[in-house]
Amino acid sequence: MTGQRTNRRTFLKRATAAGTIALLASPALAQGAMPKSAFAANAQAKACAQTIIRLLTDAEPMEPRLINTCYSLVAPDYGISIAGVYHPSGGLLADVPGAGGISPLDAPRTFRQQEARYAEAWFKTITTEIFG
Amino acid sequence: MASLAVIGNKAGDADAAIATAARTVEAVYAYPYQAHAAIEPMNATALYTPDKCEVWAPTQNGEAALAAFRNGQRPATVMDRIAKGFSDAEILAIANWYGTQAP
Repeated sequence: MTGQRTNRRTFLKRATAAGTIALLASPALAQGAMPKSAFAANAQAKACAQTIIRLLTDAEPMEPRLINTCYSLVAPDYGISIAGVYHPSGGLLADVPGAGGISPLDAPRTFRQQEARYAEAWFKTITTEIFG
Repeated sequence: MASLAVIGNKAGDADAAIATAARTVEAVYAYPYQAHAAIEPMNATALYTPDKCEVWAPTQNGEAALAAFRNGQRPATVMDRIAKGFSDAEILAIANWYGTQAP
């Protein structure tokens, strides 16, 4: 593992010397339980970027906790969602037990309206964050 | 610098600069307690029932907010489900990180 990390450091230091690393979103090879959503890819890209920075500065990588939230708009003012929290386990991303799940089926209409607003806010946030 | 202090911003190396300075000046300043001029209303409401005591207060306490999401005391659509994935230490780390973010 240490040898592998040294190799990664060397590779990254050469890559940054040659130019800039741009990381927008990166679907993990070790996806595991984590769904392939835009939210998940963005969270994984951030964890990846943080690990690259730590490897370049000779710090030990930190074990990430990754969040996913996936919204669906059934109607413009009617949102539903599924969420989860994930951590690396046995080389894959595993569910953090007790976290996540779907929004309640019997939620009142105001809750569905809030979810719809949050879905739009999330889209605005993530597109601004990535593309400026 | 205190080992437990949270560093919000760091520019240069103060310790090294002081160690090599031609002359250093030391002084201790003290001032009486100053009343805050907070922008939020400085009050609190507590609802005490046999099961729990719920307090609404302008504490700006991110750690308590996340803990309240986690145990279902704070109304949420998604933060309750997210907060359940984080331990006390992780919630503290999140709160500390936000605390160091300059606007």
